Amino acid sequence: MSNYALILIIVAYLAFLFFLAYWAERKHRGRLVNNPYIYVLSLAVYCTAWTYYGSVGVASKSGISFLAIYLGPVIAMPLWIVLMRKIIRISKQHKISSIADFISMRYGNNRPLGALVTLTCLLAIIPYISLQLKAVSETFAIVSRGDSYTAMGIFDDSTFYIALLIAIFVAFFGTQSTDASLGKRGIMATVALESLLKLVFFLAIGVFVVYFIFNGTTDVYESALLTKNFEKLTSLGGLEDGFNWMFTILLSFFAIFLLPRQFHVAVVENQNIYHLKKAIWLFPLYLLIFNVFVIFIAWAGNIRLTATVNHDYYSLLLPIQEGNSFLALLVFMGGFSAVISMIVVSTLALSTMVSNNIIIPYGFIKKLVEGNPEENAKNIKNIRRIAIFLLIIVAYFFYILYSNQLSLFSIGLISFVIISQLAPSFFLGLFWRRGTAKAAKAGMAVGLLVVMYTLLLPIIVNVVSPQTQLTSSNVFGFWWLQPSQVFGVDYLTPESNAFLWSISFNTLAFVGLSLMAKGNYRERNYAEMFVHNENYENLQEGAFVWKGEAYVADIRRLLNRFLGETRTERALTIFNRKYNISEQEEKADARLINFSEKLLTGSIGSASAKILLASVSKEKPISLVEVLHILEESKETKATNKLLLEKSEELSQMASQLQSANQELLFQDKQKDEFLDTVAHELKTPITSIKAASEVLEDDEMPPELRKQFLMNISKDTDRLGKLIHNILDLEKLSSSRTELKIRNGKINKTVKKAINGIERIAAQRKIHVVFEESDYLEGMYDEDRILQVLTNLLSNSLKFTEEEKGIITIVLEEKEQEIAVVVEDNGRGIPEEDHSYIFEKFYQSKNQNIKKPQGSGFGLAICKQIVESHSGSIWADKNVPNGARLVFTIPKTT
Amino acid sequence: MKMKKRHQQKLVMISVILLFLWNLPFVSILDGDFHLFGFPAFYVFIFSSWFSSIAVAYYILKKFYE
Repeated sequence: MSNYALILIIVAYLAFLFFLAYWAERKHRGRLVNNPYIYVLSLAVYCTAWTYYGSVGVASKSGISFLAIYLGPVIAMPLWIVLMRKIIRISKQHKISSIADFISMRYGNNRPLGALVTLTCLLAIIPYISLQLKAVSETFAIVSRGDSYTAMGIFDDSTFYIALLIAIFVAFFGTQSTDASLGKRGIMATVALESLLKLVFFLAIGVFVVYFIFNGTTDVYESALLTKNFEKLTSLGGLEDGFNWMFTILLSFFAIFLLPRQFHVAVVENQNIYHLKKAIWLFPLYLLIFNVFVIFIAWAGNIRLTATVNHDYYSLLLPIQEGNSFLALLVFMGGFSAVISMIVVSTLALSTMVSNNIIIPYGFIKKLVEGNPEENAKNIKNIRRIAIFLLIIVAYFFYILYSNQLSLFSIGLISFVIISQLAPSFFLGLFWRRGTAKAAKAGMAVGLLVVMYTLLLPIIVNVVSPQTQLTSSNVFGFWWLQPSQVFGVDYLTPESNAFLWSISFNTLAFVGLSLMAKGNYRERNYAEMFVHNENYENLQEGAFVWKGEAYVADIRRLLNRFLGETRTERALTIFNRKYNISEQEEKADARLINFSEKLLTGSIGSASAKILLASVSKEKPISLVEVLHILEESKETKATNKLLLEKSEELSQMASQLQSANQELLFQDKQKDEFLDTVAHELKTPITSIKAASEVLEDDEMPPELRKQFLMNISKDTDRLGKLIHNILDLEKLSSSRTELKIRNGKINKTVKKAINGIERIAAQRKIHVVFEESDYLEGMYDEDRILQVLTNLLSNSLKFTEEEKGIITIVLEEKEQEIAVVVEDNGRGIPEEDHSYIFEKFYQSKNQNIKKPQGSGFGLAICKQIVESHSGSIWADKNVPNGARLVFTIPKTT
Repeated sequence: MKMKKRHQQKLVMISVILLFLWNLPFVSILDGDFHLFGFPAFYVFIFSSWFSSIAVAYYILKKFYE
C-alpha cells in the first residue's frame, strides 16, 4: 500500500476521533456516554500494542507466558467489588484526580510522596509510550512496504507527526476544565470505540488465519505439531517456569490497579459506582475473547513465515503474505487504535500528575497565589498542555534512542515492575492504618533502587558497551550481587528477579519503618478516613480533624483566585446551608478547611491545596489521641442524631395513631348516645300508649267494642316492646359470641324459599314482586335458623324501602370458589352514598330516618353482620348499582 | 445499589480460587498431554476455568447486586 494513502487514512481516522470526542463532550447527559459498556470498554485500554502484537510474538517464541499478563487482571476483577468500590468512594469524596494524589493524600497530603509517585510513574510509562510509538512506526513500515521509502530524519518520520497529532488531541480534550477530577467524556468515548475496533479487527485476523489459511483450529494444531520446539510452546514447563509464571501474574495483578491509565479510567472516569456490576464480569470476558486466537496466529506464523521476520508482527505479515492487503490494513488500524488510546489516557493521567504533584507544588504555587482566577485557570491548563507535549516528545526521543534493543514484551514488563513499587503503600494503605508517609517514601525509594540495579543497569550497560558481561561476572567481588541473579537465584527471568527483590525490600522497608515510628496526627487522620472509609462517608467534611485559627474571608479570597467569584460564592452558600452555618460567621472551622481543600484538590492537586490553605490559616498541632477522640465523637454524635430522629418520627406516628383512635371513640360514643336516645324513645312510645290505653280502660262505661280495640293496641305495643328487647339481647349475645351456632350441611335454595314464604303475605299486600333464581344443587355449611334470620331481615328491609306496586326484589345465588354468595337486590330508594360504610354498625341509623319516626330498631343489619361473620363469611352493600340497593353476603360452601 | 457482605465474599472467593488454581502446584497438575479442537490441554484448562469464573461472577452479581 502506498505510503501517502496510508497517511491519508490515518489522518482521516484521527479527524474522525476528534469529531467523536467533540460530539460526546457536547452530549453531557447522553445515555451513550454515561453507560456501563463505555466504562468496561475504556478499561480495555489495558490492551495496548503490547497485547495486540506482543502476545503473538511471545506465544510463537516462548509459549504460554503471554497469558499471565491477562490472568492477573482476571484474578483481580472479582475483588473489585471490595477494593475498587472502596477506592472509587474515597476518590470521589476527596476529588482525587490521579494515583499520585491518592497515595499522597492517604499519607497526609504529603508533597514529596506525591512527587515520588509521579516520578515512579514517569519512569515506568515513558518507555511504555515509546514502545507504542515503536509499534506504530514498525507496523507502518510493514504495511507500506510497497513504496521503498525510509525516513531520513525526525521531520521526515511519520511517527513523529502522528505523536504530535495525538498530543494535540489530548491537549485539546484533556484540559477543557481546570478540575482534573472531572470526567473527560469526549476522550472516554473515543477510547471505548478504539477498544471495540481493536477487538473486532484482532478477531478478524484470527478467523482469517484459522478458517481461511487453515481448516480450523485442529488443522493449525496438527500442522504446528511438526514445527520445532512445539512441546515447549504449549505447556508450563518445569518448576522454575512456574515461579516466573507466578511473578508475572502478580505483576499484572498490581498493574490493573496501579498503572496511571488504569487508575484514570477505572477511578477518575467512573461516572457511577454501579458500573462495576458490569465491569467485574464483562472485562474478563473481553480479555478472554482477545486471547482465544493468539496461539493459532502464533503457530500459523511459525509454520508459514520465515524465522527471520519479527514474530511480533505475524498478524500483519500473514495477511500480506496471502495477498490480502485490506485485512492487513484493518489489523494495522486495530493496532493503531490500541496505541492511540494508550498514549492518550497515559499522557492525560501523567500530565495531571506532573502538574499537580511536581510543577505546581514545587515552584508554581507562589505565582498562582498572586494571580487572578482567569489567569490561574489559563496557567494551570497551560502547565498541563506543556506537560502533555513534553511527555510525548520525550517518549518519542526515548524510542529513537533506545527501543531498538528491546522487544515489545520486555519494555512492557519492565514498566510493570517499576509501577509495582507503588503496591505496598497503595494496598497496605487501604487496610492498614499504621503505614506512615516516611515509610512509604523509603519503601518506594528502596524498591526503585533495586529495580534500577537489577533490571535497568544491565540493560544500560549492554547499550553503552555491549562487550561488558555484567551478568556473568562477580560484581565488586561479591557473587551474590550479580544484578540478574541476586543471591544466586539463577532460574528467574530478569523481570521476575527484579520484581521479587524490589517488592520484598520495598515491603520490608515500608512495614518495618511504619512499625518503628508513628506518623503525625495529620497522617493518622487521613489513614483513618481511608481505611475506615465506610464509617466516615456520612460525616463527609466532619471526618477531618483540624484545630487552629483561620478566617472565612481569607479562605474566600483564596478560593476566588482559583474558582472565580461565582463558583466560590455558590460553593460556600451550599456549604453553609449544608451545615447550617450563618453567612456572617467570621472564623472558619475544620469542615470549611477540608471543604476548601477538596475544592482546590481537583485543580491543583492535594499537596498544593494543603500548602495554600496552610498559608491562610494558623494550624495548631494536636495529639493523635485527640484526633481519634474527636473522630469517634463526631461519629457518635452523628449516630445519636440519627437515632433521635428515628425516635421522634416514631413518636409522631404514634401520636397521630392515638389521635385517630380517639376520634373513632368519640364518634362511637356519640353514636351510642344517639342510639340510646332512639331506643329510649322507641321504648317510651309503646309504654306511653299502653299507659294511655290502660287509663282509658279504667272507665267502666266504655262500650265493649272500643274496649276490645284498646286491649288489642296494648297487646300490639307489648309485642313491639318485647321484640325490641329481644333484638338488643340477641345482638349482645352474638357479639360476645355466647351463642353456639348449629352448623349443618344444608341446601341454601331451601332456606331462601323458606325466607320468601315468611314475607310472602306482606309482599302480596304491597303488591311487590319477589323473584328468586333458583340453583338447586348448591350446598353450604350454616345454621339454618340464623341464616333465615339474615335473609328475612334483608328481605323486609327491601320491602320497607321499595314502592308499592312497582317494587321488584330479586334473589340470586352465586357460586364462588369456596363460598356461596347470596344477593338480595331491589329497585327501591337505595342506600345513600355516605351511609355505605356505616349501615352495618351496631348503633347506626340513617340520617334520613331522623326526619321522621325511625323505621327500624337500628340493629337489623348489625345482627346480620354478626351472624354472617360468625359463619366466617362477609356481608356488604354493593356500591355500583345505579338505583335500588344490592346487599350481598357469603357463607361457606360444603367441601 | 448494595450488595451484602456475605455475597461480596463469594466474589472474593472466586479470586482466591483462581489465584490458587492458576499457580503451582495446581496449574502443573492439569498441564496434561491432550488437545481439544486444537487447544492444547494447558489452554483448555486455563480458558475453561477463566470462562467459568466469568459465568459464576455474572450469576452472583445478577442475583445479589441490586
